[in-house]
Amino acid sequence: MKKQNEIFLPKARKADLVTRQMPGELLVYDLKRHKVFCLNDMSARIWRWCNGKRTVAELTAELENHFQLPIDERIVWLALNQLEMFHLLQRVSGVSFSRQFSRRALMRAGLATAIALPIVTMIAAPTVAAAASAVTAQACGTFTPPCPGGPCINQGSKLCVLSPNKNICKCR
Amino acid sequence: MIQPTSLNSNISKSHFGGCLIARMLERSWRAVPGPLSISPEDIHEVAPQLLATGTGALAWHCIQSLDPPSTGPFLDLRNAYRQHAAESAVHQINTSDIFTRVRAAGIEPVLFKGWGLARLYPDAGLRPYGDIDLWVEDLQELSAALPSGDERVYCVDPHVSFYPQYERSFDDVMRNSHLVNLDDVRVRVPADEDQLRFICLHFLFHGAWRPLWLCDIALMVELTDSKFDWDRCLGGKRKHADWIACAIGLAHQLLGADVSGTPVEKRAQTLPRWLTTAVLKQWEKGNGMSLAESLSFSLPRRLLNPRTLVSAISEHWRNPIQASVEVNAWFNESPRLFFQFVSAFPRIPEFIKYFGTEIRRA
Repeated sequence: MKKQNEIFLPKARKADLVTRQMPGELLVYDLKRHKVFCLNDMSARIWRWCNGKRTVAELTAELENHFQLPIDERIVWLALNQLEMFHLLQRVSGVSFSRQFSRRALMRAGLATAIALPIVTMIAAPTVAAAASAVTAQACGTFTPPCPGGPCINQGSKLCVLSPNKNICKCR
Repeated sequence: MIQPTSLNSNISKSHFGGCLIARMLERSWRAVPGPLSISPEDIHEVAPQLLATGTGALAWHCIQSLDPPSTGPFLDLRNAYRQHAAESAVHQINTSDIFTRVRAAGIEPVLFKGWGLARLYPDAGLRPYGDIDLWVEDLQELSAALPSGDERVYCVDPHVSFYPQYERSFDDVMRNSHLVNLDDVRVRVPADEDQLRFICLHFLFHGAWRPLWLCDIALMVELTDSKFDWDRCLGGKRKHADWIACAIGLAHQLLGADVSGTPVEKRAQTLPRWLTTAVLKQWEKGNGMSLAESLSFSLPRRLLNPRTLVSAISEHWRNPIQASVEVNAWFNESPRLFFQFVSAFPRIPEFIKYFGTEIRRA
């Protein structure tokens, strides 16, 4: 771990991500994967400090400085492990994330007493049923995919859907 | 923790699920929603319907101060709020992007619903986000200005007209519209009077199936002040003004919207009996069929199975609200069955044709 720590300069992914700060947590929307992630305060701090210039030891020192508490390096690794799993870090070759940094392992080691462990969760909210608006054939053609899938006016049972091989919306 | 409470005695035993949704969403659009009148067990029961119809976050807003457990349906409601909050950030970027693009092409659209409504809520995460509804003069021009190919990342729903009962021209709406700031972009939204009129008609034409739409109406009505021009909002044919008054009346009777001092106050107290029942019944049932949707999307795969065919046909039966607006009927005490039959007739030939095609295909 020591050797890995010295060379590993984690960098937060910024491209195609949109964030919204909420009380006590940070929400991250991945525009590529259309997923929402929730970072608790600890993991959000670590993620923000991952600028590609700090080592894991330096990130740990930042946390110690912030919380005014001794912090085990494994807590930072736990955060990085989760951030990497959800593609929130820029890809780094040659770094392997070990299972020894699982939340359960750290709790067993008694590291979750003074501060909250970093947690990154993927939000799995049920899909909201949308009201399918009826569109004219002309209006359907102006949609940008994903197509609405709603009915086409005066077109029988045709729906405004993606036209195969053309990547345009069409009443079919 | 949420304390169990007995249900209000005037909740009807029939349409129980619809009544629970109404109780859950009472005053949910306010910054401080007020006391909850349903029990945790009831929330368990009604959560799937709330989530499916886009009101999970509003429900969370009502219960979050009661320190609910982070498990089961309570977690689902919280996650719906988180999801909408994150999506709101994306939706805002997309909305400002589309306005920048179309303005560069010399087009000035008016944004209906979406962010135009969501911005009125006390929190960006309380409402789901979908298409970007733009009213424009010319669809071809808009189409040319929209992002193409790999650039396409959001769905624009363009309109050149709305329901005839809206009785407003593009020029008229444009003249009364105003600009609001969204980050660095000025987004054009309709006047509150035109927006409220539109969302009331939209709610009725879609058969009132989404409780979220009634929360939108309640929110807008409670935001009206002395400057709000009710004559403009209700202006036009008397029948359609009455429809709008009835939609606002439903927000009052079912969700507790404050309509005191408005011109619709009296009408809100005396709604036709069938109207409230129809909404509660529809909410209990869940998703409905949209305006001009003659055949449901799932129909083809169900047509040839006798058991599912019966349910498919029943789904295509318009509820009293949708039938009434489709045949342009008054909202009075007369029975609605006749209107439901009348609204079904135009769709029968198409249904039979579709059925015939499926049989031949089989």
